[in-house]
Amino acid sequence: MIRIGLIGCGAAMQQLHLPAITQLPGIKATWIVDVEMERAAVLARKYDIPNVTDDYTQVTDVDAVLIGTPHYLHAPMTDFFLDCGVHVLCEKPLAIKISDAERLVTKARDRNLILAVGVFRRYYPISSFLRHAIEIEWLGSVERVDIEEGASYKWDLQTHSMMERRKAGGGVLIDTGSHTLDRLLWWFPKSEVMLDSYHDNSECGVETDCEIRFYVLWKGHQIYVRAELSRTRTLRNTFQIFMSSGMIEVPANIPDRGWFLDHRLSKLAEDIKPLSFDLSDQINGRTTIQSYFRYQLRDFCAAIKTGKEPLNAGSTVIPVVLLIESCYAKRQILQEPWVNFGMDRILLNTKEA
Amino acid sequence: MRIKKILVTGASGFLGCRLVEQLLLGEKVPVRAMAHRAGSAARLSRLPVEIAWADITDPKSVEQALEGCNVVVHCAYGVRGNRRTVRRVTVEGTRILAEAALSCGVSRFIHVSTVAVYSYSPPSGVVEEKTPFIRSGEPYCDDKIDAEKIIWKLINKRNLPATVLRMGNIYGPFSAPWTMRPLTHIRDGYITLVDRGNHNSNMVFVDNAVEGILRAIKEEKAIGEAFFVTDDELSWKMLYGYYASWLGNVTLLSIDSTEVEGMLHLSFADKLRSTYQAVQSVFLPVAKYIWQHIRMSQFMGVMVDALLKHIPHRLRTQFKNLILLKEDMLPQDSRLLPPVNLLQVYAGRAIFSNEKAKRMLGYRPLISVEQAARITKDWAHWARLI
Repeated sequence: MIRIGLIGCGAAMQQLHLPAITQLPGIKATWIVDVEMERAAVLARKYDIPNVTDDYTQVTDVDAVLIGTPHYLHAPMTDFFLDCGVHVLCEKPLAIKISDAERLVTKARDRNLILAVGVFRRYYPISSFLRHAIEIEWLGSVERVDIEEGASYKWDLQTHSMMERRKAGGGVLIDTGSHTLDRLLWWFPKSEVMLDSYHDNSECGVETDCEIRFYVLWKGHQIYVRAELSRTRTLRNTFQIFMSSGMIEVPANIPDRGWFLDHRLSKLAEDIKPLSFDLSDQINGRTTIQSYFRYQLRDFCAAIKTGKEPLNAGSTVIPVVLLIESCYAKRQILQEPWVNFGMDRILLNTKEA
Repeated sequence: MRIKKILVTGASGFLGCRLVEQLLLGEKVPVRAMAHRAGSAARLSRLPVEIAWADITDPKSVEQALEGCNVVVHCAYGVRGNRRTVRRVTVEGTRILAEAALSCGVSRFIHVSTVAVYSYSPPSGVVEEKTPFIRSGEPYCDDKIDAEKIIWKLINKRNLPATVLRMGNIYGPFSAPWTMRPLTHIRDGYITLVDRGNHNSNMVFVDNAVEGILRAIKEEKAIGEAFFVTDDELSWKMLYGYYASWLGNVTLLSIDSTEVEGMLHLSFADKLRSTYQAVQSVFLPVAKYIWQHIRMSQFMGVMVDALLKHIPHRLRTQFKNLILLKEDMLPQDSRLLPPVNLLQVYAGRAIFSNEKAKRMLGYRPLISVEQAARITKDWAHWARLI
């Protein structure tokens, strides 16, 4: 039985991780930690967790921890638990700074501990399918990728940290982008990334909208990528992968569906429509998003038992942490004409008698 | 009056957020933005603004939010939760905020109200600010009346230095009711005009609404007065004509106001539908709550998952459809009609004139209809609405 400590009781922990833990055999939550003891105590009672504290350094006698705290605490907490000889599954992003992420990965490797990151979308059947389809050049070599993911922000946040630059490390890029860009870079293993431009609408706060343009250098190809992310707009919400003989399009957050266009088929008919494909389990039906948190946890447990790297190993998220850090370092202002319009006139002032 | 700091309540909302933007980036005055739920404050949080996370129905947190502010702009009203919670935020929240503002001696209190205090079907012709409220049983309208009444009582009995601004229908970037919804309705072939859209829409472009607020803060004469803040006359046909042109010259569909009146006397099918919707609105949240608890519980969750595996996927989907969406199972009009209260607004012949605001506050709708349309179009395109 793996004894796991749960650090942070935010929305993701309550709605996604905790249900996964209770449904998985061979793992038992023995500690629950939150700065608000009352919230932790309620969950402890509900899920029968014996130990509650508001100080994570008090956690003892655990084999692993699951960290779901505000972003800025991910690195120091992971560091602490690795020092304690405990395996860590940390919510994304692993760290805000690449130097922290690299240090944590090295530390975990040196101490022979499992360090996994909550990039659960890698477990979608569509993710492995695409990684393979790209690898075997199913529709030819990849030429360009266009990504759009955005919807009105609806998380029932327990704290305000996600809306504070210092604590969140950024906005939609580090939050949604940690999933979206991670998946893309995971499809191109051992690639290099060259940032072209990054624009966002933050005015010193956390951005709601951003656009990233970069090149992925992979197997001698230079693949142009455009990614647009939003917390305010409903965007297309798909990955479009343009390949030399066709195009594959997959929804950003649907685990098992997609469609493709094979130009080679146009020899058969003038007007070829995209053909859809469905990777869901035909016997058991569709799987909910929640199930992928269970798969992620099962992989983490298996990694602890066997020592084999999980699919979401810390070392594999380094490229996305690096890309995000580079984006913020080279930030340019995303023009929103409707914001600055009519601001050239001052009616009030603070000096008026 | 020297502005020390302006507290904006409802700062994560559509109008509140735009006001904060203008105050910070344009006027460059110190601002504290009051908001309740972080999850709704994405757009506000991109600004370099001090945010007071406060529950307006909690006097202590309101007091803290007010500290150091001598101007309050009250945009908050209830939008989430059950009927009681929504009313509590709109009415009780206003009382708590206004009383706290009185105790800490603010110099200005701008209460953002609405022309809906005259119901969704106000009397025809020019309505004046002194016209008595019209109760209609519509929760939003009646709650806003009660909130305003609290302000008037405090103005009259305890000299609250307040101004009431009754906003017209606010359109522009990020406006859900008057830009996003009509664009979707027009695109989807809904009826969006009554009497061919010839009546006055009583619209105000969001930046002009902000202009009204700034004028009310600036002008001392505004204290103890109510003002309508609207653009100069703009018909539904003209505004929705812009929207339709952006969507590729979609034809705007219209019905007669006599028909809208008829709709107010519900047919049997309508009664059946509204009863069903009422039952559904109670049943669904309860069912979802129970369902989530079953799925989360240690034993039941596994059992339910195991059971579900044995029910064919198609059958599960059909059952879900049966519970979730029954609209089309009921007899109804084959035309795509928006809610009746929206049709009532379209059918209204009232004019909420900005005459008094112009006269006393020096208010002008700074952004012309053409400019407003251009800005809104740019935004709508960016927001993938057109």
